[in-house]
Amino acid sequence: MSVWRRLNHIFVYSFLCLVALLQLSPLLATLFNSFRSTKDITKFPIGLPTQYNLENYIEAWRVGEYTRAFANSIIVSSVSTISVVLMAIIAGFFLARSNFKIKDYIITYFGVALSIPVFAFLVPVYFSFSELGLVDHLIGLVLLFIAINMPFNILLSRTYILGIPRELDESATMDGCSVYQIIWNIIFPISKPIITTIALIVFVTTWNEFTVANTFLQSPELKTASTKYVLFVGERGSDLSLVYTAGIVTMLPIVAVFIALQNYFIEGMTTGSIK
Amino acid sequence: MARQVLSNRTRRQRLIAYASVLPIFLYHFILIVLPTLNTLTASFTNWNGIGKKQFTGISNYIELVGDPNFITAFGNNIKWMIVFLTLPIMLGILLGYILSGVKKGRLFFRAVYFLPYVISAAIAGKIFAAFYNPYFGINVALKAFQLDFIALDWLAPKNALFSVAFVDMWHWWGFLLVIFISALQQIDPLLYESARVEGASELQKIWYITLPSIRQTIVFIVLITMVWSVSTFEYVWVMTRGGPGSEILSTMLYKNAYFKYRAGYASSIAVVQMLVSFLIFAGFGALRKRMED
Amino acid sequence: MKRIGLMVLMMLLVLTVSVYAGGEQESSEGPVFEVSSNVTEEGQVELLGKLFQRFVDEYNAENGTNYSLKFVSGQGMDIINTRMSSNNKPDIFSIDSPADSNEFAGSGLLLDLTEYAEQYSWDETIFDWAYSLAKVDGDVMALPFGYEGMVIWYNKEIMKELGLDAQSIDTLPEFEAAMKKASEADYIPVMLGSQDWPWAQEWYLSILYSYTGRDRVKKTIEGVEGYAWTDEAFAETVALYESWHDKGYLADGRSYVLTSDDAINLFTNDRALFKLEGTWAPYWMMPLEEADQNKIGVMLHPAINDIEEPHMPLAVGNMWCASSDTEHPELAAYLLDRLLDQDIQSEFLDVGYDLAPMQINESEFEGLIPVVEDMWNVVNGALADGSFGYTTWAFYPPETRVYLYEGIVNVLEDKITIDEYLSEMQRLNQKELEQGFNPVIPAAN
Repeated sequence: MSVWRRLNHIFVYSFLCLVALLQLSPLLATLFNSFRSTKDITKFPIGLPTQYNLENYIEAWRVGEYTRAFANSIIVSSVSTISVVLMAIIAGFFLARSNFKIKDYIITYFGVALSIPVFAFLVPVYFSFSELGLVDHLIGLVLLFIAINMPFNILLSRTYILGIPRELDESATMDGCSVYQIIWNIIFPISKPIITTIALIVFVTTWNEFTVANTFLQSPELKTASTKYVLFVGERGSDLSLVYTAGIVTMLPIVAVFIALQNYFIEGMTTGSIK
Repeated sequence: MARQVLSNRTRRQRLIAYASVLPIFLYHFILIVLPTLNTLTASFTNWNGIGKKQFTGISNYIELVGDPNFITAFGNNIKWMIVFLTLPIMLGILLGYILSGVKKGRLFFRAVYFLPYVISAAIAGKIFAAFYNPYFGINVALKAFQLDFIALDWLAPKNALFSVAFVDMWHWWGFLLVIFISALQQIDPLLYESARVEGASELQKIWYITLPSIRQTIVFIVLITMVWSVSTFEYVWVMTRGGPGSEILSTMLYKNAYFKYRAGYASSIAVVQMLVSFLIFAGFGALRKRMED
Repeated sequence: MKRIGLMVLMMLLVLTVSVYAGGEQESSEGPVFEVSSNVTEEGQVELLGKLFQRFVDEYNAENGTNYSLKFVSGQGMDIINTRMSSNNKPDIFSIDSPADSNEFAGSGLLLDLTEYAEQYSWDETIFDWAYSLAKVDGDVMALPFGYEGMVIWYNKEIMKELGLDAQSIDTLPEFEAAMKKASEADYIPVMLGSQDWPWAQEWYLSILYSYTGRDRVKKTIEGVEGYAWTDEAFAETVALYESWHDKGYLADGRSYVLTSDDAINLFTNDRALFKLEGTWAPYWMMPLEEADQNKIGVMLHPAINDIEEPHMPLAVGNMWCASSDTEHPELAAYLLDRLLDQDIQSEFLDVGYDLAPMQINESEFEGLIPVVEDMWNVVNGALADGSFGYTTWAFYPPETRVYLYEGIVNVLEDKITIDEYLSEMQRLNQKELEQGFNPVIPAAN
């Protein structure tokens, strides 16, 4: 039995590692290529770099004006994320638990809202925002990002909260807790997995978003990282090594944030919520 | 006395529910749905995107139905949908199941699989476009290793859509994985315990316990996959600009709105996208109703 | 509760920061004047920002005003379109072509510059052919800027290796012979990549249609009786293009599979004999190493029939316009006029930006790298002759033009016939004329 177990173990882990390799190989190739010169890359598309000079990186950072862009991206993404998480948990809870008349309509509404493509509202919203002075302003972008990310994450949170046994909040109600006390003290801690998920999704989506950000932000000092990359590569596209380098530079911060976020929240994750 | 208190309580609870959910709903409605109505009216005009609108009735829709571009694009969206309904979901569930079963390294693998999701479409698109390059891309390496048969003409019209879809899949299935892991972890381990005691095999456990338990999540994912396939945009735009073989509804919309001065026509495409999505959603709703009866 | 409190506090903090992160400038400095440009290249962005700032400062000094400049870049037609349909319009901005400025003027979005044009005597400075593009119904609605033309570049070393002489490739038979030789020697005869830049297809078609007969093109677009896209002459031209594609002369049969960057890379890596690109190409040539730069030569595309001699299809690269909503028309006109200064033209050259479409002192052309100097010799020579051709993006109606470069790929892919392609072009052209498109096509000599 134990040998079988061992073999199974090895098989599973090899499979996992293979998939991991396949997932990472494009990124590894990009990393390596960012250190190679364009001439080398045109000779052979992938390979190990012969030297590790950081000139390209400094150049890409400077040209792309990334410091300011990252600051902007952090502001936009953080505010959007926190807002959406709060809304998702609150709305998700009520839509999962409560029983008020229009509940089903609202659930359906958010589902249907998922089918609205960005272009259906991009130009009209731009028009309205321009009347209100919200264009070319990080706040305007944040407000729109929150609205765009609400439906999916509210439904996601609702699906998750449906899976939390009712006994928990029922026992709390017996103890005399108010609704919001239940949300903060019981639902929130147990929902760490879905909160992480939602936070990651919203942060990443807003960080990488290009179409809306490019339309709503004019001033160069407001532009987000993803916008900078597209403009940067649009012009210097024939310099292959610069394309790869710029890719790494744009990627690195969000990857770092991702690794940090996931470790922080997942610490206490346990299977099952009965505990 | 007790009943009085209870009904007061429920009424208060209901009020709290309304007060909490309505503002959230209104926020979204005002910001997204009202402007969308604007686009709806624009679809009945010959608006050029910058000037005045002139009412033209349903002429845009009539033109749309007869437009070969539209039919091709629509077909491509269907193909995209089929691709995304199969591979990424299966990978997500499979690896989600495996990962929730292993102890060591779960976090590591989860992070690795999710990583491509963190990369923006622009970057991934550019990088893969470089890989797909017939002269400087991986084909050079494949040929060097005698793997010619894999070295397809990636971005040629007959392969373009799938090549782009591949990049989006690489980016997307990690996302599904994370959602599935979240759902899988909600399954009561006692269910597995009792199954093991009764001598159920691995496959039986999956079929009778795992899959039914995450049914709601699967349905949710299938639904959004279908709906988002209709409006997908960024990957195709970045990699091929909706070129031959890979024109989809969104790229056709974009070109009409911004380069051809046909914003009214573009609006009608947006409306069609919404209509199709509504139908998909309604279909699911009807299905759910029947399953619950 | 503490956790929520912390979160709320954090949110408030970030919100306050983002409030100050707005793009509007406080009115402690004078009124803001916004210039929006479509350049993305770092050197060009820097130069334009610097120049406009200098102009605004000088205007302020002369007139005792205190305008402050807001300069934004990287705004392509899609962004400009969105902005011009809202209340967030820039004061002056650049758009791609006369067809676009026609469209904008038709919707009443442009400031009528006629009185300023008279004041600054633009009709004396700017080339006639360019100036006519700026007019809609006789009123000057934009400042045409940057003239670009279609030429063809070649690899000097490969030329020599194949025993060819660029100067003697003037006619169709000579051109096809050269392409055949290149192909047999395993080189790609003509390099072109339109995957990410579908507009690249129209570069070649601009040349070919123009060479089919300039007068013919002009009359066809204008809808003159007896001329249509479906005429035999155009069908022959498209068939010629298709034959080049089928023989692999055109980017190895993959002109729409390769990106523009691929095309550039292949050419600079000695894999292709010719590269089709316009006079804006220096932007990617200047960063190359000297040895690579010196390998590149330039010439006018050979003739394809007996009707037209080799000439240069022209376009205006940019149209600088002022918004009809601007509150500062004088400043707008002043800034536009300053772009025509002689002494800044060499600075434009240095960063690969467009030049003002006017007679420029030779001194401005000094100190250029050899290949760029060659190019300007070719260009200025063609202009001095006064003979030029018609590019699609400057002269054709917008929808017809888009179909031109999109539909051709279907022809190359054998999805539609040449007749179907040309019929559709004719249909669209007619439709646009009926809907009010006003062709502005100066007669070529």
